[in-house]
Amino acid sequence: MHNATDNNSNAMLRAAIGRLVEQSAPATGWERRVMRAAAPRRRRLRLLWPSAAAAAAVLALICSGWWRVEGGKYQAKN
Amino acid sequence: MVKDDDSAKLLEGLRQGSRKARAETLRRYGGYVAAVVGVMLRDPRDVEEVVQDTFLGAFRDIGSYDGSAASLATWLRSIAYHRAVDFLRRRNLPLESLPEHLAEELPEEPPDLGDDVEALTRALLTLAPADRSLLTMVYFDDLPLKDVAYITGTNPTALAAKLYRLRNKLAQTINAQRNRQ
Repeated sequence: MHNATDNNSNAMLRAAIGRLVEQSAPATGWERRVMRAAAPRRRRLRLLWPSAAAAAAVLALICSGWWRVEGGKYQAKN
Repeated sequence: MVKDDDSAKLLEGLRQGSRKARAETLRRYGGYVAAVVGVMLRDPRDVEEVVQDTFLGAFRDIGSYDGSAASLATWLRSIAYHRAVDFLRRRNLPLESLPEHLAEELPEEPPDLGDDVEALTRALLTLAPADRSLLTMVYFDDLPLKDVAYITGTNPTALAAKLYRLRNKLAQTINAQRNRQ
């Protein structure tokens, strides 16, 4: 008798908790959003490398004296 | 605790950062993790935030997973449970309604929760989030007490006593609701 009561209560709990789980489930497609969030670093790095290379090239040109100040203006060397 | 070749392969893939293994992990365990977090936080947007945080953390820290201590599903639930607890703490929300007690004598007769799912759902919502998650892991996911103890960082005997008292509290809430009607 106790087991029957217990089984019934367990089944009721399962059903009630199932309702709560359903009500609070994240919107459809959350797995895709997790996958996107799990892989942005490489993409960011891919974008970062060309920018870093361009900045380094500009810095190298400035440091090499290819550009110099003449009469208050930056001019290319002859 | 890694039981079969399939799980071992999945774990190996996760350790190598395989996209396929990550997608498979989400497919296999996403529902369990969302259930534990869902009954605690309730708002689907908050749930998604914490579930996402759980999986991103797990993918990043997979190297620290010890397969001899817990299954991958239990380990993921443990991360999810603690992230949800942190989330609630940051918002100063109550976590547990009943303090834990060590071993205590449990009466033979379990409290009867009646047969009104609607009333029981309302009663569950009166419990604190961490208490709802305990009931979810035991009665919804059918996890053994030792796994729930691993996840929540408590001991199985104290957990059994707490579950009994939570069921008692639910029964009392349902009776009180009935008497008001």
